[in-house]
Amino acid sequence: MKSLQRRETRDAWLMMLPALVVLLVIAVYPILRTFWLSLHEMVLTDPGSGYPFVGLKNYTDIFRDARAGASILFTFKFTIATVVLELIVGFAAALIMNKTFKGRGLVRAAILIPWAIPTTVSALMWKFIYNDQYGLFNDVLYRLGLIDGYKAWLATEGGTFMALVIADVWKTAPFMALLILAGLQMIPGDLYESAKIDGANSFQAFVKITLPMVRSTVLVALLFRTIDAFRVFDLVSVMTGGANGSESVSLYAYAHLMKFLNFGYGSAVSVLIFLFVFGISLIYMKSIGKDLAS
Amino acid sequence: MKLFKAKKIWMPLIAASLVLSLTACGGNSTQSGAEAPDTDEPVTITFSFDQGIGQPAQTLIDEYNASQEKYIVESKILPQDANVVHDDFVNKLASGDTSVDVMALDVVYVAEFASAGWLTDLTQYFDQATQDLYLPGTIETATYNEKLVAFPWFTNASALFYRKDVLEQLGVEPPTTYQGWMDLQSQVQGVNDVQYTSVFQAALSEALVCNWVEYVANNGGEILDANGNPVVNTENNIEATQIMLDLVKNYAPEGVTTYNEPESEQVFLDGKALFIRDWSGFWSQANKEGSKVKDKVGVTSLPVGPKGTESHSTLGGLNLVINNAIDDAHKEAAIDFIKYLSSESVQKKMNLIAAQPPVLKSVYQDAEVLEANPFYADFYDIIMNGKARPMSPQYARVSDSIQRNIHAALAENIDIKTALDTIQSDIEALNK
Amino acid sequence: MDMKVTRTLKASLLYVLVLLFLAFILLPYIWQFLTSIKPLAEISAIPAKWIPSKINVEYYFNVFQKHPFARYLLNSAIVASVTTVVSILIGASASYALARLHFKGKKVVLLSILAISMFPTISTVSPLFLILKNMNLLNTYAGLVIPYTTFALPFSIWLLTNFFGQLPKGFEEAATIDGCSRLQTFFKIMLPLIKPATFSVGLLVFINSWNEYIYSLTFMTDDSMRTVPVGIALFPSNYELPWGDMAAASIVVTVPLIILVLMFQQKIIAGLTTGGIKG
Repeated sequence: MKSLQRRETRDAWLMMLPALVVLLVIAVYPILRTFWLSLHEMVLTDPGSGYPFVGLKNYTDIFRDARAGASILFTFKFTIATVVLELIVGFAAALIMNKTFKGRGLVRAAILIPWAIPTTVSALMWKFIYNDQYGLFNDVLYRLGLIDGYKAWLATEGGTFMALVIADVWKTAPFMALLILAGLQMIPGDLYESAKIDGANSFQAFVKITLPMVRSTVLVALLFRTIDAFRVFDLVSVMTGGANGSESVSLYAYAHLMKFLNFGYGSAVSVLIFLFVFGISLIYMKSIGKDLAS
Repeated sequence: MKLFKAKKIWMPLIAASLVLSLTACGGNSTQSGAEAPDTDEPVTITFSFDQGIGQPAQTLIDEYNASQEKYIVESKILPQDANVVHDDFVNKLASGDTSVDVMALDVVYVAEFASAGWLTDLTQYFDQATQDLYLPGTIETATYNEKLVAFPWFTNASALFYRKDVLEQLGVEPPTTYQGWMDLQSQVQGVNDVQYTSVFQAALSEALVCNWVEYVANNGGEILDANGNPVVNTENNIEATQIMLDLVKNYAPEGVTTYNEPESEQVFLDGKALFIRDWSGFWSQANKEGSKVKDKVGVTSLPVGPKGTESHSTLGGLNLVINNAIDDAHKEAAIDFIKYLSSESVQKKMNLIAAQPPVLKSVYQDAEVLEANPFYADFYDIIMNGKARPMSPQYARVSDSIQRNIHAALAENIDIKTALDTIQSDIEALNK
Repeated sequence: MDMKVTRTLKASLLYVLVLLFLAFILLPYIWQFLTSIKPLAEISAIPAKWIPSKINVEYYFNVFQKHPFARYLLNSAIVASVTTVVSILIGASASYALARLHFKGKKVVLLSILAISMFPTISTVSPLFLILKNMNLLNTYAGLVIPYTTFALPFSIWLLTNFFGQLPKGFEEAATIDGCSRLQTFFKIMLPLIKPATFSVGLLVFINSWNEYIYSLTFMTDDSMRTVPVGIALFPSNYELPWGDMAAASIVVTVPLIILVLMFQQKIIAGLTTGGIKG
């Protein structure tokens, strides 16, 4: 028995080997480098400093940095708002697409469109849509009678937040929908049949069969959406540049790394993002862990 | 499909690059084994610039390649986005990369790149007499620590474009003060469909800095004094910013705090605004075939505030710089190419095909150039009076502070005094 | 109330929901499409103008004539397909081990793999540039496929592990008794069972690689090696913001993806008919 177990372990590592090699070769160096730089004072415009090792100074500086705090707060708000809405919209869409109706194939293809437009283009498109003079958003709301005049949505704090959330949900709800649909497809049909025989109505079937069966898929999809939402960059950068309190923490890291050429501090902010996301992942891991690694 | 070109073994290299990454940023990177070329073989250099001037630049490169046999210039075109261009150059230069020899760099980044040790000193190749032939403001943007680390290619200055037809109908001359333009508001509403008195760029971006610096300069204020110390929160500057806020709130479209150049131009081109503050190149765009405002546009210098005596506009434009990590043979080729781009005939040609203001003074007297740009007679004074944005290796931080605080003040999230005090203390902290 | 009325009500409610959802998803896209066929003056007309006064196909010609757009499409297609195939293959193999085999340290492996995707992309750009430069991979397809695969792996491994895990226990034992080796079991029995999920994951990986911008911009500096998103970003110049061309291009780039989805439609929904998955 023991040798059988040993062989299984060996096989497992062999099967993971190609993936692990790629990850080690490509991903580990950038990550280690970011950690390493975050422990240095390194401003590229000041090569005379010799880029000294400063220990955790960059990290203690972050705690006194009100702008870093504000960007983290915004990022949390943005992440929660978008992920919750994407879950609702994506789940609903997946349930619909799992039903049989005419034109289902086309609907499936259609909902992927937002995901398929390059973010750099779709962010510009949404900026255009929110324009106060010729934007589609104003036009639609005006025609529906919801507003009495065109508004500059990106000029106020509340408007900016709403605009970003809508654009992000539009773009990424399809991702959620497709994955949840894949989860729904994995549920064997006879489970529902036997539930019907037992006299369960469709709501009961949903709660008793569908939810538990797609739970882990939904959680994994949520996990990846959360990771991405927390690192949001392109959308905010193109649509607002961080105006009206919409500076995400990735945008702030970018400002230090690439604008101020402050690689030390910028790397520290990057590591901070990593730590936050890691923490969030651990929470998810608690609920998915036993499903995945049993 | 040829997927792999790797000749070397991976792991040692990664270890080596880990070390290299920390040292290569120091600036004095070693030559990557570039061998001295044979004397007969032409030297090939790479010129990187953005799509903003993509077509015209390519034309000039082609002509250069055809005109001589010693050097060949290849182009690497980047998207027209100042941040993308900046970041691309930084990634290359910080890693000691030699794949790019000459770069067209926005004037505001010259000091930053020079202080990082990335730029070749050009002082010995352009003597004082040569430098004197060029616009002094542009030479100033190419100089860092009294060394010429770049050479001007073309410049840019803003002006006020207004609706000639509307003013003629009202029978008034273009005002010279902000108050003068504001006073017209009650009369212009609805004349030839005009809805807004003004439109300009007040989104959170570099364009906002260019705009704000003009209000400051045109109200007799400054950002830095002669010694480089910040003088931001002065009475003059508070008043200047108040004028800007007033325009945003009462004389411009509601969305003006979200406008960069394209959005603001759209409002003017659609015939909805009395005036727009924009770069000189807007002239040809406004008078293009099919434009609603074709032949209805006048140009004048920017208005002044109550404490201002002279009108100043912000200087923009691109400078040519040489990667300091390349070998001497490539540097020699690069200098020959820069001399070509700054020569009189090419400066003139660049203006005629690209409508970019030249940096060589004599071109402004050229009959053909004046014919193509009828407003250049006045524009020359605007350019000579132009103000560079504060020169600093830390310009990115100065700009960032101005953008965030002024934008917050224009959105009325903070008051003007607080905004200027914060900028003042931000710059003071940088100068320490 | 009789059953029939309830059912009709339910069905129409379903359609209303479908329509609402489609409107939200498609309205901006339809707008984008209309923009791509509008005469120039109507694109940013104030107020917004929906229906073009005449159809203008000029932008579509511009996209292919002013730029080597066909080349960009080819490059994107090559990079995205290779990335998808490689990351699904090596991802699925790792996932199978993680989901079905018994060994210690699974959670650590899973979490470490996930950690790769937790850094902001921009902080990885310049170190990756350095690695690829040293490996002589700048301006090669491999120079994009390798980083794309790397950052697609956490996603594909986690999802495929999840789907493998949902297959009923005891499947492999039967196969092993039948004399299949571990690899045979994986390729012949397990992989086909999660095929629909594999296609969904593959599709998302494909689209992600198809749309990636910053790596492509930095690592592919030759015009002949550029991909679509960078190609589109190269449209605007000082003299125009060619919104019509950009709209046309964004329609052009979505068409291959829509075809792809329709092509794999059967595969994606094959789940219910794949027999064998029984509790």
